[in-house]
Amino acid sequence: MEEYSDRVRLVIKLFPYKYRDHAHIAAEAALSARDQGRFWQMHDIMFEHSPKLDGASLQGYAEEIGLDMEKFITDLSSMAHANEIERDKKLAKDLDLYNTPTFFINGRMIVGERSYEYLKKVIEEELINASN
Amino acid sequence: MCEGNFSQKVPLTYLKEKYMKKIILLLLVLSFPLTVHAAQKRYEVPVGDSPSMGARNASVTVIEFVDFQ
Repeated sequence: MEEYSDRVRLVIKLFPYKYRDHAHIAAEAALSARDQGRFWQMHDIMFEHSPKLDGASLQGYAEEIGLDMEKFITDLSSMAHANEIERDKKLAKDLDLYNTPTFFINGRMIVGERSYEYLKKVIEEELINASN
Repeated sequence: MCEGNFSQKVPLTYLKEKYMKKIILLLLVLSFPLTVHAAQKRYEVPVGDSPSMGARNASVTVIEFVDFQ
């Protein structure tokens, strides 16, 4: 993203799989961190440690990135961002998504893990399309 | 008798060979526009207030649906 920060915008939508134990609480943790201006730090640390995303581990990560722990714990215990998560899940359902990650690059859908080189190639194509 | 039976089988084999290549070619030609159309399909996905990085007026938007687990 650093390479393209002025030309590309990266947006994250949450699509926690219902049969994964910690998927929803991890999504909640991400949005709680977002409210404290640390979304990307939490995003990175959770992916680094996934699937170790139980409550205690999430609190450890939150402490590591310097979150207000009282606020964070309250958010997790109350699932304060459940509506926002459900909104993203509904969007995924409306789009018939069945896998993560799923990318939409200027609307072009790409399903599943891809290499950086592949995604870069598509982004470069879209940058050219957008300039024409 | 055998010669009569042999002459009846030859046309069927001949027809298969004659038209199979044309049928395969026709299927390939018909499938090409469908493939191109599928590759170019674009979805309208609202950004909303989802977490993001990069310029808001960037010419390319990458929306990623994630599951952290």
